[in-house]
Amino acid sequence: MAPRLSAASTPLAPVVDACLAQSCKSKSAPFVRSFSSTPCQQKMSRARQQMFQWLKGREGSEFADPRGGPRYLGPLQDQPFPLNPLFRSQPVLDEQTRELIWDKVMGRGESLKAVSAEMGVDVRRVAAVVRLKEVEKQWQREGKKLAIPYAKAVMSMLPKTSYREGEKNLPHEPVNEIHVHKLTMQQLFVPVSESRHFTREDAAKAFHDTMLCVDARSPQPELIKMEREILEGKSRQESLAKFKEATQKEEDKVARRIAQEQQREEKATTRVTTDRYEFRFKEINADDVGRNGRSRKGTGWRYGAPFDDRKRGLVKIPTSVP
Amino acid sequence: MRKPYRFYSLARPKLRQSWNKYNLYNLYRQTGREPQIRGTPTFFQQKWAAKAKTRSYHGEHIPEKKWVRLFSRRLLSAVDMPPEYLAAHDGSEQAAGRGSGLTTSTVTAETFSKVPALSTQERSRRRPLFGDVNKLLSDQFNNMTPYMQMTFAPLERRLDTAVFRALFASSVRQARQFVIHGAVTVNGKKMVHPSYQLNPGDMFQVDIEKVMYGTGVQKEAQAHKRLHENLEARQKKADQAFQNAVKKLGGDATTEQAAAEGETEGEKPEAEAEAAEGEAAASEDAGSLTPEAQWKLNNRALKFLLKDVKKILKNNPKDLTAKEKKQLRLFRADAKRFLSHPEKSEADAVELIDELQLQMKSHELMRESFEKLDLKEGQDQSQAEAGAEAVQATSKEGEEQPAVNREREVEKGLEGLSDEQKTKAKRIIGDAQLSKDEMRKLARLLQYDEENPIDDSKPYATPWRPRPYMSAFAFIPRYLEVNPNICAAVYLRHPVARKGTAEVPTPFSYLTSQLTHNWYLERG
Repeated sequence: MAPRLSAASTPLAPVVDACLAQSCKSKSAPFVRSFSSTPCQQKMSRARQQMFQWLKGREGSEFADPRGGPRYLGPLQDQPFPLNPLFRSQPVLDEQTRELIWDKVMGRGESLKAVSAEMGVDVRRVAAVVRLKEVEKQWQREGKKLAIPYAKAVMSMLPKTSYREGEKNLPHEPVNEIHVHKLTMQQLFVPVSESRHFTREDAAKAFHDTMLCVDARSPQPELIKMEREILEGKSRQESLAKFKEATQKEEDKVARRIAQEQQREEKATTRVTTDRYEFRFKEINADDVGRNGRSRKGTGWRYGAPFDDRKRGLVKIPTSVP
Repeated sequence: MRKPYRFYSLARPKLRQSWNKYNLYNLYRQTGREPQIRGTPTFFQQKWAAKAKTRSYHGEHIPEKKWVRLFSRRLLSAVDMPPEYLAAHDGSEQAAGRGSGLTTSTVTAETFSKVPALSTQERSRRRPLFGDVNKLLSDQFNNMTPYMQMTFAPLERRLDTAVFRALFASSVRQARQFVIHGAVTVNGKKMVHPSYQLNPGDMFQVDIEKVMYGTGVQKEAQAHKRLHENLEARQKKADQAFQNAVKKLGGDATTEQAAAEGETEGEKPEAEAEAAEGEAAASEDAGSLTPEAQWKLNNRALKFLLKDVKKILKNNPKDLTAKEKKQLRLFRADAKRFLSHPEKSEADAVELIDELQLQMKSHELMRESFEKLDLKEGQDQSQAEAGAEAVQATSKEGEEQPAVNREREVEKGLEGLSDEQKTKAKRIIGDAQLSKDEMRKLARLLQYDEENPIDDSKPYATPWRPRPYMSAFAFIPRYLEVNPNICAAVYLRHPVARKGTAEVPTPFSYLTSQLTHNWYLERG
């Protein structure tokens, strides 16, 4: 695109002169003239001017090329949105900590709950970190290229928590967080005698007969047990060892159950390998489809049952990916 | 839905889920704020305005009908219950003595919590608006669970939004495109529906190239024109010079030597270099040459190869100048040609260096054998060579030692020689040879460069840089766990509200969200 002439900076006369001079000079095309004799308007509204002024100013240029460390708009340091102090950019686990978690779980064979309690990271996050790290390691083994420059840039822009082994560390997030149950969100008036020892369990019962109390809904019941033992007078180390053993045992149990399930599955299938395919046969009971032929347990389609997978108005988007 | 006309506007600003600079500016000037109440807007009008504002940010690409079906009045929240508290108290202390007027129980679960609090440090203090009623109203919300900020939580479950929140795309619309184009997998299976609702524990993964494209600086046309011109010119010259050299060598060995001497004197260093290059490029063809002549060619090639590298190696790999970086890239291309790799081959930096080292070693061995054979050469010449050899031996013994030490050893080895011979010997050692330490350094340098190489086949500007204004939008909400190395993330759980914070990233104040929530409750 040809450069535009700004209206304010250049008066008309030299432009016209230049045009004239050019048209006189070139003999091949004597009638070359600009289409309009007035210079075109610089289309820059006031709002745009102000925007670019801000972007090129001190504040805007800081965002354009950040110099290490997070930088957000909001008045508070970790507030990305100026109007919403209720949303903050919370720190993420840094590279070394994620590596450490992976090493603890996969290398040293510690249980997820023990790692979670020790490092102050949610159990689900610990599991996710290990899962993602495993994929990363697999990529490295396969020689696949990682997105290193991207990762470096992103991690430099985010607030981070780092865990140093053998030092005193702040927890990353609460490990024993409990969802607020729908039933507890209403106000309830329960007349109780003053002398009665009204505990959490009683409160849960008051909300609903089948409702569990906080201790039962906790993701880390072993941890509560450990703290209780410590309060009863046992030494911290002893109860910690007990806690680790208990969580380890629980995890082993789960692992064993999964292995057994796989074994059972394997037993039920007959594999026949041909040069091209591997056929897997399983016993199927035709009656599993149920009375209307739509039971989830059933296999295949019962003759006559309507097949809705292409019907209009029915959602085809999968609800889960196994 | 079609992208609306004037998506980013300054006259009628709307906030968008995007890293665009217009959006940044609109955020900065607090576009989405609740207006000061003037006149008497009806409740309906207030709700309508709030709804319009929030919907232009949250899922503006989703039809209203679909969002209304997603809307849920059940807002999720969570409470931290430290195990220490649960062990120490059974909850009866909350009720104890209430009937007899005791209301000052200070024991709460919150007092046991050790999680670091949110920062209250202000970075920049802007002049507050005098008499801002909205601000006065909002102050109290910091001490309660902001449920209303969770109004748009169901949208955060969508795959396209999650991809955007994990910083894998620069806008939701781009994330949506990535999904539709098949660049996103969920639990290892390709998922092409942007409206797929993630379940807790789902892992989604985006193609690395797409992420680099989405979050990187845009590519300019002909950005590396100069570099390519340089490379091409080099190759062309090298080819020609090689032809010349072959001709000369075939004709007369002595004249060739003289010519080489003349060249090394400094008359035409470029041409000499090119000659050496050319030799490297097609050493196969040089089979007809005598071994000695071939060795000489090889020597010159090596010398040229290592000419610039020596200078670069003295610096820290992190702060190379642009010119040095360019030289490094040229070196890589040259080395590939010297080791007769194909031009486009994806040789690993370590591999390249290993091969180079092997070449050098064999080159050195050949030289030694020549010297044993060739006793007819001038006395001084052989002496210099011998001195060089001695130095070589000593330096090989002390491979790990730093360069200064090596320099001293060189000096020691060259004792008893004239100055001229010394310089000659040094040139032989210095130009055509790198110590192991230097080799290792070079390998590290090349690896560092390889992490983020110049590659014109990519759809983004190379070497990759984050796009401008990204840092203002760079945050990862806690309900996602992201591994940026493989561009994958796990959706851990649904977003929740806690005391004083809500996990749904929304740029609007509590008042706006409240009005919006009321709109969707449909209670008139």
